[in-house]
Amino acid sequence: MMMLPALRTCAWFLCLVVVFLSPVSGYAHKVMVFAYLEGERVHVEGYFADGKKAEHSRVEVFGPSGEKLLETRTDARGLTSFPVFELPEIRIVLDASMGHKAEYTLTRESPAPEAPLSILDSPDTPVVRTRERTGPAEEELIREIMSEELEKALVPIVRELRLNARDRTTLTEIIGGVGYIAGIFGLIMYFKSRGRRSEDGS
Amino acid sequence: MKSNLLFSLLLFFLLVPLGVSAHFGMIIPSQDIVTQDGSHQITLSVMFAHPFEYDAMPLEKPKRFGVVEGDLKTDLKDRLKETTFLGQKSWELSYRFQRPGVSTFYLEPQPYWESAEDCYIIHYTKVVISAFGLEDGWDAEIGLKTEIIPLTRPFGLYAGNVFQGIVKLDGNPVPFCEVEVEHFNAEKKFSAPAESFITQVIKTDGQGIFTYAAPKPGWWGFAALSESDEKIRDKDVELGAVLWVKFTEMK
Repeated sequence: MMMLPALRTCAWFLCLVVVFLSPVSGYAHKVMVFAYLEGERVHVEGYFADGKKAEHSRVEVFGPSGEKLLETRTDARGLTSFPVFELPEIRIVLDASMGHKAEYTLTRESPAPEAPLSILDSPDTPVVRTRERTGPAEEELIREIMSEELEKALVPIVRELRLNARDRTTLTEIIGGVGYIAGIFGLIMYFKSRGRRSEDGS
Repeated sequence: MKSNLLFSLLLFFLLVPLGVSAHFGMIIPSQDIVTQDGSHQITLSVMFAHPFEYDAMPLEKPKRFGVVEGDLKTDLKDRLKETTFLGQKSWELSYRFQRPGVSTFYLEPQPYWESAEDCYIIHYTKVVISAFGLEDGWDAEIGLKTEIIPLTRPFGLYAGNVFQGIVKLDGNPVPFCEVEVEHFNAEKKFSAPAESFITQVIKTDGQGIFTYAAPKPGWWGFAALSESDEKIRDKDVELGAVLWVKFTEMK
């Protein structure tokens, strides 16, 4: 009878320990996965914001129609790699245990990303922004410079890689869509009423 | 004789107020955080200016310009493209992020002769960018002659947040040194009700630590000033450790 309160305290304490300790890395920092193509291999990195690596985590690779292509694990540095697939797009899912998953979509041919705005002067206007597009020619140049910059031992980067900007429907698009529908409906009503009026007139 | 006097007076008034405004070495990137969904390429604008008054001085080709990413230091000086900012010579760089990590871009300019202050100015300037969610390394000291080492993570900050940094000169903290703070008042959005508002002035404490809360979103520059022991052509040299930090409106 005397043991009971002590036991209860003990149990509470254990509960607290479990609650405090287990999700720490997950809550404070979300696990992330990044992938890039180098030579003919896809390199995958699993990591947390604070620099911890997603060690020995399961990595699954899916094709465009959701078919599983590969399953592997990261090493102690959170890294893994596999030969490139002849597919336009692959989805890489990293599972860092405790249900913490991250994914990354790697596209082979994605449109060249727009270079962001510069605050510097463009040649003709005194105080404005220049918008620069990275065209195929410039891409070549960047690639050249990059391979020079990277250590000679590194395989030159073959292709531009970036995350496929997911298609999202924005509010503006929805409002625009509704507007179109209303407009078309209005036109139909207009012609209908005109038709009716001309019928009435005859 | 009289016209000569008038002319000198005019010249005096024209020149003197220039000394009031603070100079800042500047590296302003198009974004402070690079995400997987957004553009992986940024543009860095490199200039020398009075940020609040939105007025520039020419910046000659920097002595050093590069990026530190972990243990890797990359010289980017020869990739700087010459351009102009507010009609003055300045520089621009396109940079593509290949891997997750924290990148600290740095600038060591050539000494700038400021006749109004009768001294040379060298502003060692930095900006810190996080790519793809990896934040480790934002507090790194990269080993400039004088440098602000952030004590607050220098990206992903809200307007109104407090920012703290430690000022170092030759690797040692600088107690009670003056830190000038200015908002990069792009396109002169804000106007100062009096001269004193242009440059906010704070000092480091006994440990070389300063604290500032940014009242508005945008890029804010911190310039910790000290005097160099060495002289250039017998003139004093002002050393600045400059750090640019972006504060974002909370929505």
